[in-house]
Amino acid sequence: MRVDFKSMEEEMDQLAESMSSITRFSNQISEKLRSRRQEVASLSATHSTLQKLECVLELPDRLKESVQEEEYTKAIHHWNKANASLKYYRDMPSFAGIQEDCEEIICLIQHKLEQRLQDPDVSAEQLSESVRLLQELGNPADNLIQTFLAHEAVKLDKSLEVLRAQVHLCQDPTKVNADSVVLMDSLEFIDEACNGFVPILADTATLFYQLFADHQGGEVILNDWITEHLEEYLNIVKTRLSLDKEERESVILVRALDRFYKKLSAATRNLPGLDTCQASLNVVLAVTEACVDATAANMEAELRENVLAARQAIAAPRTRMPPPAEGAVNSGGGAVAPPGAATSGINLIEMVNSLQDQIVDSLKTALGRLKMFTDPELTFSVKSGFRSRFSRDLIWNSIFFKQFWFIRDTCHKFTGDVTVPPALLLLLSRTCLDLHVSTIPFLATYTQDEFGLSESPNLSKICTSMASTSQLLLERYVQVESGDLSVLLGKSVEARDWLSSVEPRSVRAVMKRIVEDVNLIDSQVGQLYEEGNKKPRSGESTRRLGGASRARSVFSNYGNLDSSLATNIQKLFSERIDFFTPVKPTKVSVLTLIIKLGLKTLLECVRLKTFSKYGLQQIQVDCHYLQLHLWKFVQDEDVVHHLLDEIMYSAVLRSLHQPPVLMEASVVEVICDKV
Amino acid sequence: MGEETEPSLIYGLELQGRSLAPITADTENISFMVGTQSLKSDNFVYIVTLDEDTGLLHKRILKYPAGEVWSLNPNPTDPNLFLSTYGEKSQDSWKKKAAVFRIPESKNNSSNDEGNLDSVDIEVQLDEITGKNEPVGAWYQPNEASKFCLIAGNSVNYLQLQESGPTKIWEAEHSVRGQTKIETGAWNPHRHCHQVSSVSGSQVMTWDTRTGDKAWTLNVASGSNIRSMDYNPNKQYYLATGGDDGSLIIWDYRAPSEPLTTVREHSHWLWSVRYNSFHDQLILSAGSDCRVQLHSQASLSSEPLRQSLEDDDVQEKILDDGIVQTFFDHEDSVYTAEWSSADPWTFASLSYDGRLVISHVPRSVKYRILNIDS
Repeated sequence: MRVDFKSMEEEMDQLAESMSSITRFSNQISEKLRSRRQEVASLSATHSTLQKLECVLELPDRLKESVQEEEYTKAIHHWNKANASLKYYRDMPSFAGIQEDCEEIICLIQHKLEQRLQDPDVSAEQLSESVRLLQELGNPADNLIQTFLAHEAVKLDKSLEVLRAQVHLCQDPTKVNADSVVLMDSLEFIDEACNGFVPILADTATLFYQLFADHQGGEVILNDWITEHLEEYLNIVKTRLSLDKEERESVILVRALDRFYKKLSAATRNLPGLDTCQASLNVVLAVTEACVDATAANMEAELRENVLAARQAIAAPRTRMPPPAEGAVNSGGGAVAPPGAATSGINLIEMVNSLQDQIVDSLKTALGRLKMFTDPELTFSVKSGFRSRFSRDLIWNSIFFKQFWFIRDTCHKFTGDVTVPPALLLLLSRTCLDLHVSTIPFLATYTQDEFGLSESPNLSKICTSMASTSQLLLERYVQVESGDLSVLLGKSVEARDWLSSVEPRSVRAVMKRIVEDVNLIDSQVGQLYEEGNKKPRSGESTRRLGGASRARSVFSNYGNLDSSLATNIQKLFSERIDFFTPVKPTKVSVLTLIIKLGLKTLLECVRLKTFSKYGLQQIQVDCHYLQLHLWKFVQDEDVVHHLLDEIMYSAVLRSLHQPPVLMEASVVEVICDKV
Repeated sequence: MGEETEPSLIYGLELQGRSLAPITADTENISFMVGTQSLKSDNFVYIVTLDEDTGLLHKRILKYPAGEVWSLNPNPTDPNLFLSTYGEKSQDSWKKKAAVFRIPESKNNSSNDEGNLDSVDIEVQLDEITGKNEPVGAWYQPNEASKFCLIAGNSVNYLQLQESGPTKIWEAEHSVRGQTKIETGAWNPHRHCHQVSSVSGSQVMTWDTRTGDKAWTLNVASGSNIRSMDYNPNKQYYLATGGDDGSLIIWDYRAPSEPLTTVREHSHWLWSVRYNSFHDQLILSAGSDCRVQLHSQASLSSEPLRQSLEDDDVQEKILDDGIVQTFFDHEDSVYTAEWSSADPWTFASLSYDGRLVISHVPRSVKYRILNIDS
């Protein structure tokens, strides 16, 4: 066993020995191999360096190649890779040379890219590529944004230019032939605008967000830029659409507006920080307002035309000659129809009605036209900003009230016009009265119903003003008509030599003319105004005779009474005639005032003359004639009697023969009945 | 404005009248001359003097044997002379004439008995001047008592009175289509009175007295006749007219196409318009609607504003424009209303029925104009 162990030990030693020799050999080998390994390693390093070097050396060529192929992305990619090492070995002259070459090329690329940005025809991909590459090349984003936006602006301007040309064309259609541009209607125009400008704007914005997503403050710059161009765009649209004034165009106009509003809001909905709604709603409102104003102007023109037509209709058949001196009344020749016949042909009430109808129609048409703007189908019409302004400012103020104030002003102007035919004054007076009483309230309700407006307008101011204009016109009518009568009466007394009159055989022609004129006035006023109250008569059936006999009794007494006593007694029994009584809108009131003022003039003229016996008797005959014919027109016939008495009394005072010799009443009656 | 008005004094003439004039030569007393117009009875001229202390009217009645009085124009320096037009009546004819009259020295102060009355006598007959034309009126040149303007028919005559009688300096014609005669006339008191105006129809024509040439004309656009006119005594170029449409119109005759203002307050003819000669913001108008109206046209007067008493920098209005007061004392047409030449706050008006009314500017207005706290 011992031996075994011994041999085992020996064997173990032997093994250890051989192991160590192996190790020794291995070490020897490894020692020998080490130098080789180092060589290999250095060889492989050299290889890779050479490869890199080759790449660097080839870089300029590759870049050139890419440039030629316009593959700028690749070129930039290579350049970016090589750039770092080039920078590292910049000190070595050969590398520096390469770098310079490359930088030159990159410069060229940059230049090309920049050129691309200047080119308006470049595609969106190319554009975004260029911008991205330039960004990679380390160009500052701010500059790039400016360049980019400037590039886009060119496109926008181009599309705006087309629109602008349309505006010019629309403003001055005579240019149609000069350019080969065709005038589009509003809808076509809006289509053009929506298909040109709006998509460009939207695309630009999208692209912008892609390119400059992480740029600080980019959004603000973009929005400013958009706002600036949008403003221009909105202005152009506003100008163009505001030019649509024709009524038949309003359907198209409303559709165009709607399309414009929808497209623009849709296109810009996704842009953060930009609210185009208000701006485009403002355009819609501005265009609507222009349309409303045009409508109002149309209505005004219509009214003016209608009033002018009425005026012409009144003036046309009027053959009234300038008030002739007495005796010349009929010298105009038989061809001239008597004024009564000539003017009674005018149907004033028909004219008033038609004028009223025209006013109502014109407003209804206008409202009908504007109603299209409130169609619930329209996107903008349901916006509260539009609704409230449309109904309050536009419908009420710009149409309804404006129209009635215009009517009122138009009518009011006639009160100061000396050339206006009196019948027109009467007609307008009646029209204003009707407007005040019924038409305005009716149309206000109509408007409210049409537009579903809850708040009812305050009509009191316009109605009051209408009423006072009506009154003024009526007063003016009285003034003009009494003025005409006065001139007629005045001249008839003034121009005559009353000291050498012959015995009166008939009523003077001018008196008949007066009665005719009063009849005419009566028929005119009677057409438009109701009768009005008359003072109840005393002694109904015997009025005519009674009137005459009363006159006789008074007249025959003048000669005997002491004159001042006579006046005083007369004044005691007759009411003082007040010329200040305001005229009321009734026929009787108008006629009373006209006759009163006319007779007062006759009185004044008589007092300026001196009468011979026959001159006085002529006045007596004339007065009696007037008395027979004028009493029926007035409110209180005593007024006529009293004034005629005063005329007679004044003539007596101015009579050369004292005591005066009057004509027998029966003879006076016979003469007056002859007529 | 009419709160504390002094009551008007009313005096009734026995006959009709349309002529009234202040006695301009008498600057001491508020005195007026009134003439009656009757074809039936004998006519008189009344010299009415208001005693300011007692408030009573003194009347001196004088016979006017020449006929019915149509107009009166007292001599500006001699209170005993006056120009007048009158209607002379005979059995079958009647003629309007003009003459210078003399008022005799008063023999006894108190007697107004009919039988004992003095009568005014014709000093200078002007028949030769007027000829066939019907005299309209005669007005002394305000600054020269020996010269006057006589209007008859369509002719305007500028005359000088000399020892030998009236001499015509020049004669001019103012005729307007459709008008039979000139309506009235007026002196322009400015620039030594070298302008005198005549009114025919709706036209004012003004003559240069040095040459007898036309100086300027003015037309009322409405064509309404002018019945009366008066120059603003304190403000050059301004004048007022009144006429058949009842309007009182103020003009600047350098710009005659457009009136400065038109006030239509009378409902019938406006027969008389007169500026107050001291305070030209006050204008008196009277018409055949029986009304006499006192207007204020302060904005067009020579003194529209004055220095405020409270604040040196503030100019205040003296009066607002408009009617100061309407007087309702008459019941017949008022053809003349005249300011007193002695007292700026008193005026007289005469209606056809012979009612003479002496009235006053309301105290409040007077104090306001005088700038006195009332």
